[in-house]
Amino acid sequence: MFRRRSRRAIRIVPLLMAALLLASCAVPGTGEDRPVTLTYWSWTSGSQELADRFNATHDHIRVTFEKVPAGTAGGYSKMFNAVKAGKAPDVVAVEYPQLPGFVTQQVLQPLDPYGVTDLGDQYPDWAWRQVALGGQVYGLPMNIGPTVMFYRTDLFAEYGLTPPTTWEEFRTTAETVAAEHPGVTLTNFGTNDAALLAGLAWQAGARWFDSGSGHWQVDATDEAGARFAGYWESLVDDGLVTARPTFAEQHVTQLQQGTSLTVLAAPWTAANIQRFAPDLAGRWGAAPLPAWPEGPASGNYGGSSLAVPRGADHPEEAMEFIRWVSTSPDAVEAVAQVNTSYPANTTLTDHWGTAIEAANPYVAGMDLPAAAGAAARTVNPAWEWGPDMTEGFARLVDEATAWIGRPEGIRTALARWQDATVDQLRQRGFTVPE
Amino acid sequence: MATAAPPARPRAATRTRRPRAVLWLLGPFFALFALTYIAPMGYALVLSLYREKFTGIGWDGPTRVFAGAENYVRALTDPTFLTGTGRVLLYGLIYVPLVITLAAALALLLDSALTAARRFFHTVLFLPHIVPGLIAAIVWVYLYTPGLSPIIDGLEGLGAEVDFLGGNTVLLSLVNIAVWQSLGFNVVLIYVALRAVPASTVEAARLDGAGELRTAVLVKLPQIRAAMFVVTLFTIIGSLQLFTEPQIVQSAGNSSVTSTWTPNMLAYAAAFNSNDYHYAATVSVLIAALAGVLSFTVTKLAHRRSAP
Repeated sequence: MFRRRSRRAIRIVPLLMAALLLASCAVPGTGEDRPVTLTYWSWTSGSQELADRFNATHDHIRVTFEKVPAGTAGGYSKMFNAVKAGKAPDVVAVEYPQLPGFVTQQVLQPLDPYGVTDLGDQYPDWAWRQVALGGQVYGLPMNIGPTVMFYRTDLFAEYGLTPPTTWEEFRTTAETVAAEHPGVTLTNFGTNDAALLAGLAWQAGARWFDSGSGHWQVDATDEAGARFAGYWESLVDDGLVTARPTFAEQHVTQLQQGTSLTVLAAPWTAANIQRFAPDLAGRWGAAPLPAWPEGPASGNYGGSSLAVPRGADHPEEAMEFIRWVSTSPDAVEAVAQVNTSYPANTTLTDHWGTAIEAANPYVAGMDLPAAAGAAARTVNPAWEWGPDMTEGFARLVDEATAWIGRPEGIRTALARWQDATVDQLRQRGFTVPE
Repeated sequence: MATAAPPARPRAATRTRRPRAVLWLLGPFFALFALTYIAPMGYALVLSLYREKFTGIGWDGPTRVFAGAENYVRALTDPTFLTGTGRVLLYGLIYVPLVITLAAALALLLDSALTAARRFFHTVLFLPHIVPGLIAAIVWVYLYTPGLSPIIDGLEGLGAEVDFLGGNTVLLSLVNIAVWQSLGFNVVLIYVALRAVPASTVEAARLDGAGELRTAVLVKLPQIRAAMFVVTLFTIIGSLQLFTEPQIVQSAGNSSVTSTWTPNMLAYAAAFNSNDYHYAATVSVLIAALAGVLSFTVTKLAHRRSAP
């Protein structure tokens, strides 16, 4: 793979040089009246709608949306290489786990010179902390994924169940379901979804990375981590939940047939459920995730920020687009039909609730705005991500797939992942104290 | 050759022109070869001698430092790399003899009795090769996934429970995909070589009373040694490059294939997950070296055997 890539890269060099020469010969613009064209790379649904709506309401900037592969499926690598090659797009979508990696790899430029800091108080503290790294702000949060639980309202009513509000109740409910309805389980514990594992650990009060000491520290096995892991191990061991890849064929079949009653996820997942089980419109409800004994808390699962790569030529205009996406009700409306992500900007939440319920009949009646709002207010603020999370997530999926379902499986997976991560970070050139 | 008479035509004129002709004929090839093959290899080699270092948390970005053999030490002590290499070697050990034996057997069959159905089998055997590896892997992943696979359902009906994607079985499942994919192609290669075997030798064997089997094994096979050698060499190198099939199986989830299961997958993960091109280059160079050593060994062995 590698060799083939670089061979292609070498063939491209003369072409690039020719293109640069041509570009430098080009006639300079005729002044202020020609709009600046921005390239916007993302893969999330609604990106085209965003660009269209922005273009319809702005004269001096034209945004061209280019769909790239999902970040961890090649999109991030594409962005990284584009920046290295000096062909950076103007705006990119970056999920929170990848921001520290992108900053340490010098992929993004700080947005401080373009007035981003004035916007800080419109975002939850924890979300702002995800984009403010090393004293500068590298992205503007677009949407967030406070953890919620989707449940089948019709089947809950039919089986005489109420949505559990604590993890203890969740277990009792799972026992009832397993005892009274053979073949049905309360939920599926995703074995291939590192971000969800992290979100659940986050909700339990874990903190996997800590940069506070001036060096990276990794801890996936603290008390909170052990509690969350032990809880799910017992549910899996006792056969109270299934443990399968999320939204893989088997899981989708379970959802469609109503043999898996809940999905632990984030608001954006509603669109996925809609896609995989379109016939089940009107049969889902949303509630905050069950709580640990300390009281309601949430983690974050997904969501992304918009950022400006290094080498992008129009950071000022890029910032204007980003600001519009992240702060304007218009942008919320533009994507409401196709994307159910919760907006990061706190001034937009009410607007968002009305907009998605009006635009998307599948979501209307779920009570999603209330559940998501409650979850968003209780996200544990201390969480940090490490500097190599694409690799970190891949390895976590490896460990989870290998260990979940075995005795002490989740704890073993997390312990092994922690060791591998420390090792990987050191090999990668970071200092990780003992 | 040694006994052939020396050519009678004058050689003085051609001798002066020959170097220039050679340059014209071979030059373009070597230029392209150097540009598209040697240069990237050299670049990979150079990359593998450097690494990145961060200070503190690393917000200020990496500095590139000369690493000497550090990356190679890292790879050669990296359990992921070592088990991955062991895995592809084991895979090759099962896959190469299997596919070569099957291909030779089928080619010999095609070449002998079944003349009538030859064209039909030709096509049937070659068909899987037309299916791109990616698609083949996806199709097979379906056949291997419990709950989707009619094969698993059928086996369950017979009371047998098989986990095609778990534990060590997955290696055999991958061998199966590879055999399915490449058998026909190898059969065609060997069969073409068999067509070039002089009919007279086969006829002579037959007159001497050799049956089909003896003719095939003792007369035809020794004459296509060169083709068999090439087929074996390609297959060995191919098996070291194992990537597409395990990558698909891995991304489908529910298998014991990890994201760094083979050295090529490790290099891919280093380059495209971690942006660590230095380590990716190191792993690539090591795999290239291993392929070189194996090819050399196979060549040596083949030559020693074919020597009188």
